[in-house]
Amino acid sequence: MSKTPLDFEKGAHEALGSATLQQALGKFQTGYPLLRARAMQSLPDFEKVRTKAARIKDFSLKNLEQLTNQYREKVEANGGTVHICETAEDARKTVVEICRQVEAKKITKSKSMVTEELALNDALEAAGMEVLETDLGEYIVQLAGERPSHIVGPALHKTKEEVAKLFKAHHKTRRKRETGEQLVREAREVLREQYFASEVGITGANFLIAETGTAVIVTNEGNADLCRILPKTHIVVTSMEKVIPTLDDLSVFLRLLARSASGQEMTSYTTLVSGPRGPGESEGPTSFHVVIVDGGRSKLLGTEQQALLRCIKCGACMNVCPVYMSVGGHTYGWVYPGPIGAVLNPVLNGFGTMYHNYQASTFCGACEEVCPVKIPLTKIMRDWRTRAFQERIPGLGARLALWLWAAIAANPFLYNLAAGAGIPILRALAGKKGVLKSLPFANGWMKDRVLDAPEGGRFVRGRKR
Amino acid sequence: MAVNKGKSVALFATCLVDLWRPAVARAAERLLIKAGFKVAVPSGQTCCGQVNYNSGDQKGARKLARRHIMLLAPFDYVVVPSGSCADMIKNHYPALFGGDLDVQKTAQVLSGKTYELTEFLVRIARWKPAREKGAKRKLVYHDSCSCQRSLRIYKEPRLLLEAQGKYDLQALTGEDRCCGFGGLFSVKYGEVSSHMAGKKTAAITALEPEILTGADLGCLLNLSGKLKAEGSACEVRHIAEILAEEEA
Amino acid sequence: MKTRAETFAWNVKNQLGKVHQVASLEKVPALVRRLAEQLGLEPKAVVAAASDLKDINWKGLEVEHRPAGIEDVLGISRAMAGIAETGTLVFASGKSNPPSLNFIPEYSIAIVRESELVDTSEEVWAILREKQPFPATINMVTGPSRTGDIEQTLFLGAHGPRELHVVMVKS
Repeated sequence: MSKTPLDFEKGAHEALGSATLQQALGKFQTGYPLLRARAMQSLPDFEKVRTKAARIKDFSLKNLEQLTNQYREKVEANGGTVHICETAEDARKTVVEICRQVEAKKITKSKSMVTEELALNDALEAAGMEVLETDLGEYIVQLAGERPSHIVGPALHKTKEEVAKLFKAHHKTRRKRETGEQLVREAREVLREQYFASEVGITGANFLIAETGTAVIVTNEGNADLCRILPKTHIVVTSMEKVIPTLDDLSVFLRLLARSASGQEMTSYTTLVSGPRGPGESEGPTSFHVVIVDGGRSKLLGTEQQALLRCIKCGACMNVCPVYMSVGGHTYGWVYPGPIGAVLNPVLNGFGTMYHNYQASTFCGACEEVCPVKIPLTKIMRDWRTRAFQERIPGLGARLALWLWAAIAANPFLYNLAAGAGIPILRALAGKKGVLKSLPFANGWMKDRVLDAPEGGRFVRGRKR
Repeated sequence: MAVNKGKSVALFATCLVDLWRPAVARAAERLLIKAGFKVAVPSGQTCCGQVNYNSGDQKGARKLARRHIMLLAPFDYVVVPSGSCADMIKNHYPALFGGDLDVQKTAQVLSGKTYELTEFLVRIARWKPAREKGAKRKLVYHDSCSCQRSLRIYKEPRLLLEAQGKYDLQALTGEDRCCGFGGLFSVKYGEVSSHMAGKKTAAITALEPEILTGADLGCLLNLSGKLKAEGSACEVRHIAEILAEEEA
Repeated sequence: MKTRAETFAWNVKNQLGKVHQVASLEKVPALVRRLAEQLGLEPKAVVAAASDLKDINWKGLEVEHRPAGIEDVLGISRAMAGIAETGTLVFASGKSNPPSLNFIPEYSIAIVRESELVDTSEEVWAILREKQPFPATINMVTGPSRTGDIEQTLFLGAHGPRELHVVMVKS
């Protein structure tokens, strides 16, 4: 894996310069907290429920192997097949192979971040199949040839006009594209026929229930259900940490998921699928597969940072993250943006490449406050910084500066000497107004911002005890 | 006040205050004396190690933490005019010494007696500034993330400012949002940091306050630098200075 | 204190569903005719083949008991339970209850008896555990289909129904 950090500053610069993105983020930043607060009114014991949810996940992760085996046995008893894949490559091959066997030409797909992680669409297209995203946001992003910028609202960054342009270019029909209503309608009509024409439907899963061999799929649009019901083959692609023990455990998570994700008490559609169509049923898939991906997650099992596998991908952490709300999702450079991406991306895609993900945080802690499964996000970010420092991922200059600071600050004589020399220099540089406008090694600070010079003198030095 | 009399308080000034705005520490010292404590300023205090700690340099952080644990442990209380440095001592020092039980024990005891300044004045000293008369000046209080989230301090500075009666405290939109300082973050990701500061100053300027105050000098330098770059005349002062101010 | 039925109805409306209350199943066809007229739809529907829906006289309506197809505009489905806590309808797939009825038609009518209402999802699991085999597909439906994917504005009828009418049957 590459150790060169992906450029964050460049992406951030572009994002900060995009008026439309800033407008969308601004709207989200004010809108989401209100929706969430309203939905939380009907869950006054949020703290208790999220503690319970965290415990269920910890229990599940501790017993993951047994629970996964139980899940698998149940699905197989129901007539489905479970494929457990260690790497992204295995998972891609498995899905492509299933699609080949049923001679799929067209695949309808509902939103799944795990398939983004696998770059599954590329693999299916390379095998000559047509893949259609059906979640409206994901469909827009697919037409634009981009990646989702938010795990719940993939096209958060797109304006209505940009969507209209994309639809005009791809649908090649003449129709009115002025209102959001018209665009939603158009997507509905265009995609409707595709469900009927596709041989395979691919969905993700929010939870896997060991007790009954059930995959739980949560959407607002109903697109996952059409992907499930209409094609002859249904493939669920998901990751290993989704397994929970029982249906009653699911109830706990359902109280948290929609409230955290979109400020709803419940999303419109929560669908529990446990196998192919049942005996006597006239619809639903005749062939049912579940692909469970490890992708590097098992490295976290039993470690101090295992808690990050509790994640239920609600997106609440990014919805309140001031860094995400400034730079948007694409700046993070990989599948998962925001605080959860900051801690998960390095595990899945390398600590070097994803270096800035866990560095670009003020540790403000807003994410931890809303996390429905109490992931200690800032602690894990700090742990990854510690790990990176030990692996010498930060440059020599940065490491040397920290070493030097510790050495000076641990020695009052040197500290006083340095302060005695530094403070007057800074004051001289600042001049009469007492304001610094540029400073070697600290010019990052000076972007549309100045720095007050030290006022002069010291407090600690030369006092009597 | 009798309970406080004679108890020793170590004032940990923090490196930023000591080097940049020593007046803040002098003000904090005056406040603690007014509240009836015997104030000590242990010499040899420098930086709590937060910069190294948050940058992943555990070794450097431990070196500085160990030094300050020994320096501050002998006192009844330790008071810090900064939420983030108080949080470092209170919530992170013990975790740094997982393998060293002796130091960890001392760190744990220190954790229990370390307070951010406004928290200490309200919860422990039960002290309030004398009420002053006169026209009220419009003031915005900025909550640092360390204060409001790590230390759960929200009411305390407001109680103190209201008791003083000199200020018309404004409610800030998005008061729970980070100002973008974040220590080295403000230098390493300067553009993002400055943008975050800009969202904050926009909310502040909309209220047209005469004074902006807070308990963390880092945030205040950030916001002051942003406000000045935007041409605002809003005065930025640490809450210790505001509270220690007496009528001329 | 609200009764369970009141809580359920309140939550369905809160989730942008529409609520109708009828005294008995026999009253459903007239309600459907009226709704179709109000919505400007032809008086025809695809209807779940649940035994109690097959037994009633659908006079004045052209009904077919089959899965929904692309041309169908009005679907009538039969819930096995309703969850008061969230205003959620629960459908278990089976011979007589094809899931497509809840997703393909633009207008969806769901029928649930008040005696089938429960307080929480946990109670539904208890009922489902008794079913053998476990249903291949269970749909929990809370309000109509919606999306916020265009400029964070809420639009109904994204892929599923734009209107969900919940008919609560008293007896």
